[in-house]
Amino acid sequence: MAAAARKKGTATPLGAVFSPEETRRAVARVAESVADRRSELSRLQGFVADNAALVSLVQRLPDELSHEIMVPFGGAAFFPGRLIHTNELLVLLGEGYYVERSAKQTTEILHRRGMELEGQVEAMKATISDLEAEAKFFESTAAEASEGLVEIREEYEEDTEMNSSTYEASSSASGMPNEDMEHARIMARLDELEMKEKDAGSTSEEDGEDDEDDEEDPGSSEEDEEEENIHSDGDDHHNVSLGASFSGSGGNNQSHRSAQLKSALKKPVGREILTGASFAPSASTPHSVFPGQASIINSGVQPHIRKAVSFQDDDRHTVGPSKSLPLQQGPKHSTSILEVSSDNTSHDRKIISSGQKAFTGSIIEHEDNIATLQSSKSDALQNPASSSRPVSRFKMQKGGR
Amino acid sequence: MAMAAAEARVRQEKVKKFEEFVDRRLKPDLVNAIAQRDKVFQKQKTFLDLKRNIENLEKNGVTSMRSMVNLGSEVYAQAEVPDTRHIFVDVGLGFHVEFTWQEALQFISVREARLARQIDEYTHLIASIKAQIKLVCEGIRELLELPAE
Repeated sequence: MAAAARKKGTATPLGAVFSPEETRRAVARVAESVADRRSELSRLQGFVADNAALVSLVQRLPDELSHEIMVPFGGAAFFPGRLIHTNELLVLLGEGYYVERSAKQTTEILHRRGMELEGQVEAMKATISDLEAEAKFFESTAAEASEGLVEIREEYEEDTEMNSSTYEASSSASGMPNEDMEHARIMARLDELEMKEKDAGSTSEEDGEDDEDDEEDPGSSEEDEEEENIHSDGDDHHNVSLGASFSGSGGNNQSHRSAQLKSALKKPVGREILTGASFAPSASTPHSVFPGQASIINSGVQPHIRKAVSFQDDDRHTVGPSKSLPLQQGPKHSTSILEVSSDNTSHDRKIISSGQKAFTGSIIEHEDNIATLQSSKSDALQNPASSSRPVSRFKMQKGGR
Repeated sequence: MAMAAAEARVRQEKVKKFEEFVDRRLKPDLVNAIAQRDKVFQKQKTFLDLKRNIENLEKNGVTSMRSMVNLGSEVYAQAEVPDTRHIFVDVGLGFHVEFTWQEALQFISVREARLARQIDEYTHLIASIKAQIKLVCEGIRELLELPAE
């Protein structure tokens, strides 16, 4: 028993750690400071009482034109006289500045001073109660020490904690494993989502394209990903892969979103964006709060839009004001998408950068989608007409193409 | 040998006693006396001011005047004195006596003389306390057999 105790922890008598003399001295010191604070408190309370008396005096002063008083003349003499102009008072503001006030205004000033004093009194009371608690603690410690209480200490060790700490250490120590892990996680999530989509039987995505994409991600965007990991809200300008672009904006969800985005981007390639069926999987995702078919189609556009919004947020913080811009900029936006769709997935970088430029102004759609998709953006839902607008334009563009 | 040790201990105790006397008795006494004398100085100053003010009134022939009265917390109100020929002077113990200017000046001169005497007394007291402190310190020095400064 004793051996185990020695191995795992230590048992020290409290009296050895806190000598009774020392605790007594501590108690005395705290008691002294409490006494100091108490005298200060009584001084403050005197001020408060003086202030209250003065308030009542000043309030009564203008009741009459003059009051018979003894006018002080120096420190030791008085003249019989009277107060005149009883509604004109000179109040010291501090630093030798006086202001002429009426009795009512003076009362207001004095009330404010009284509030300040009350606050100080309360603060002082709180301090005193804190100190008293401290003194009580010291006293109880002294009593326990004299009773021969023993303190048992044992280092806290837990396997899971150790694991997590080592995991953290390794992940933070070297960028590469972290990156790999991150990438693997994103990929796993992507695969999962693709499986879901396939299960839904609604998409005709080529796995080959996916693979292309996957290969490109680590190759071209490792640095960016690392950056993203380090400062989570870093600028998205250099984001090459969509996964990276979304890793900037939040937790586990983002990989999900990036997957969504990816699928959405790929869809233009497949030229199947506009079929409602192709978006069935996205309807199964938690983001799809849209009631109708049109809004599901809209979700195909959302990834772009969301991305644009994130750019906006990061770069300019001007999400709100440029609501009317999409009318002009909408076409640009969709052309960029068209570029995307005409190019191949291997040009993801170009897509995003061009998209970013095109999107800087076009916000309406973004806000809408943010409101529905990102609960962090607490903007009120915009009118549904505007949300359907970009879709229709997109559709038109798509059709023209 | 034992005798010497005992003697040293006795001497040590004496030194301690002397030091305590200086720290716990003489020094607080000194502080107290100085504070008292400062109070008297204050009083002397107020009466000096009063005398000067009354003399000013006399010289200028002021019979009525206006002043600002401190109501507390540095709030001032205007006051008017219709007749300044009669003045109420604090004669101590919370009593104020109505004087004419001449009477007031006479009283103030008497009062000032008394205050000056009080100040002298306090000054002497302070000097004697200082002397005692010096004496005890010298005694301690002799007990410790340190060389004179």
